[in-house]
Amino acid sequence: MEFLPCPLVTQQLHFRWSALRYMQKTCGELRSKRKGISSRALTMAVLVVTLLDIASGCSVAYALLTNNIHMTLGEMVSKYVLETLESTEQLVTWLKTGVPGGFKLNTPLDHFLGDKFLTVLGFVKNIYLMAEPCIWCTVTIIVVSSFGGLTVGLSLLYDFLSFLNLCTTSLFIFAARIFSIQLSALRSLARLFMGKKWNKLRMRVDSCDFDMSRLLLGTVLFTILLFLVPTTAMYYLVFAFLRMKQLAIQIPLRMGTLIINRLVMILWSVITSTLDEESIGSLRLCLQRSYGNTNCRTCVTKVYGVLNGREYSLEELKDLVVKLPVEEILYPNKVANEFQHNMLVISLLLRELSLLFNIFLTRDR
Amino acid sequence: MLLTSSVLRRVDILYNCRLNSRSPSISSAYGIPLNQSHVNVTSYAENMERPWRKILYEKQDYSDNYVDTKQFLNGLKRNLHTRTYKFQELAIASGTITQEFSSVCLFVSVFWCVQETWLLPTSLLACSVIVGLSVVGYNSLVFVYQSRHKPLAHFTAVTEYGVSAIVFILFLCAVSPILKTLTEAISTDTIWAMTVGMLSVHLVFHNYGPEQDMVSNSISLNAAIFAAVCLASRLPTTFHVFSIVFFAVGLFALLPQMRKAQHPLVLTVTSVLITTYLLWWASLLLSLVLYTLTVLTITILAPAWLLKLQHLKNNIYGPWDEAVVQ
Repeated sequence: MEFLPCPLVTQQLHFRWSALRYMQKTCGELRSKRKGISSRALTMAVLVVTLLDIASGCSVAYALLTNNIHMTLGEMVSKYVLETLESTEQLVTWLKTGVPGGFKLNTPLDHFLGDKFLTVLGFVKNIYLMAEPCIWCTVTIIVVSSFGGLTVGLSLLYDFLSFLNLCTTSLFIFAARIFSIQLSALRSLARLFMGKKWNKLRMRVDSCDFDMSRLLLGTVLFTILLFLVPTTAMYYLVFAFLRMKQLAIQIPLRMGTLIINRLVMILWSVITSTLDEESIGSLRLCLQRSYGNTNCRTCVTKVYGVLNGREYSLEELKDLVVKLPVEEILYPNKVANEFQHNMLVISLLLRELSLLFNIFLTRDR
Repeated sequence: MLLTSSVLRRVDILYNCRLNSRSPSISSAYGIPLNQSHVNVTSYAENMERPWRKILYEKQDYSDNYVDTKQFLNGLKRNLHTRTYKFQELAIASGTITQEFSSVCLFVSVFWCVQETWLLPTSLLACSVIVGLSVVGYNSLVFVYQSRHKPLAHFTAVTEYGVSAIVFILFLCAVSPILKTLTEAISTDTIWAMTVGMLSVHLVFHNYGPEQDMVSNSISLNAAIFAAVCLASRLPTTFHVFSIVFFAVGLFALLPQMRKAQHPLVLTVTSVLITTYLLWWASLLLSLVLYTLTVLTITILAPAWLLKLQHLKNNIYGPWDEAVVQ
């Protein structure tokens, strides 16, 4: 479960490439017979899984193409995209009323944020209405590409969906960023209210004798930010739920690719369930070394342990299942430099575009 | 009966001496040579009559947990460092509390007047500007006098002060429109409740003079400004908001600084008179009554109560206290 900031296809390619390289390395070592059974069998397992992948992909693609399901699939995707956009627009207009669900929001901020989000959504909706045939074509291409392997098809579909939902993602990141900035400023100002300050050198909170002007400015800002929290919180919640809805569709695809990737180890655990401790230990080492640089190193051993019936713990399974979507949602708040940078660029772009269209729209009035 | 007890006692002491003789180190630690322990044995009756002393370097025949009734708590002393108060000094010293309380009441009554449009924001602003300038002028004069040997010091201090003041005024101008619509959606009762809470916090944490752990200048000032902003958000125009917050800043931030130099009595009387007059002018009669009652309590009732309770004071000192290095 690599949360690398790049599309799933490239992740897949990276994965396959590293597997091939590993095979290439071990072919040379087969002669030395240092690791014995493990590496040879591992390379065999890798080949087997790749073949399985291609076979399943071919069968699925053939089934879809012969029954013309790919057309309905394309229709489904385009309908889904337009539906999400429309529902988002409806939700934002509901928020803009100032009393969504009984919560009383601050009117000027509410209107401001609602306007901005609505302009962006309208703009994106126009683009999608224009580009609808492209969606159908791309879905057909994806189904055809499944002939290269099920993982290829799944990862392409995942990337395509995340591209289509770029609007949702970026709006969510926008709302999340505003909310997180507000909360962190509020935290710091609350400390100022108490007469304390965060000592970055010692990583602790110290008492501090502030100047008069700083105290006054700080208090006024604190009041303002405190009273604006409900408004931003509502916007954040709405977009967080929309993103969760988007992820609910994307995550099964991702899990599928991951399971196929780790199929090697799953198969091997089934095969070696009768072997003794030593060879299993050396196999684990091999696996860890080959899948070494991923975040999922521990996940490998965990799932392995789960399937073997050893080291079973509910927390580890929960880690596997829950951490994936949670990390996806909380991603904007974490410090991940390149991704943040890219997303900031996109949000800035969107802001500029929204400003442009705002001017364009207000001119008509 | 007496014979058996004396025999038992003799046996006990013999046994102790035997222990002592077996372990010569113990007796040498006590500083008693072995033969002397025999002397103790023979004249144990005399030992019982020797008075108990609070020492450890000699073996006494009393048990370890013996408590001498004649010497118990000899070192106890009561109320060594307490001072007895006089009514006048208490009443005058309570002036700081009265001043702060009257500032709070003054602020709330001014807000009420502005909201009922009996008081124009322009006049309010003018008053607060005058008061602010006077405070600033007074402070700078004092500072100039104190630093008359360093010519540049007062100039830099005044410019810093001026710059921070200008920055704050500009910030307030920029932020006033936001403040006006900040609590539009919140009901009035909540605003009143928050204001009351915040002003109470201000009164509780204020620095009235004596050094206390609870005193925190930041919390008190921030709570007062929070209350001011809460109230200001109820006013009709931006200029109203600006003038009220400006007035609050002058009242809660600048006025306490003048307290250090003045005699407390002058300022107390002035603030009480001003607040009373304003409350009467605004015909907030119930508030006026409550205000006068509170001021009387603070100034007269509370000191009298303290004086009455003084005789109950019972601080205990003794040789068991921690040693203080002098």
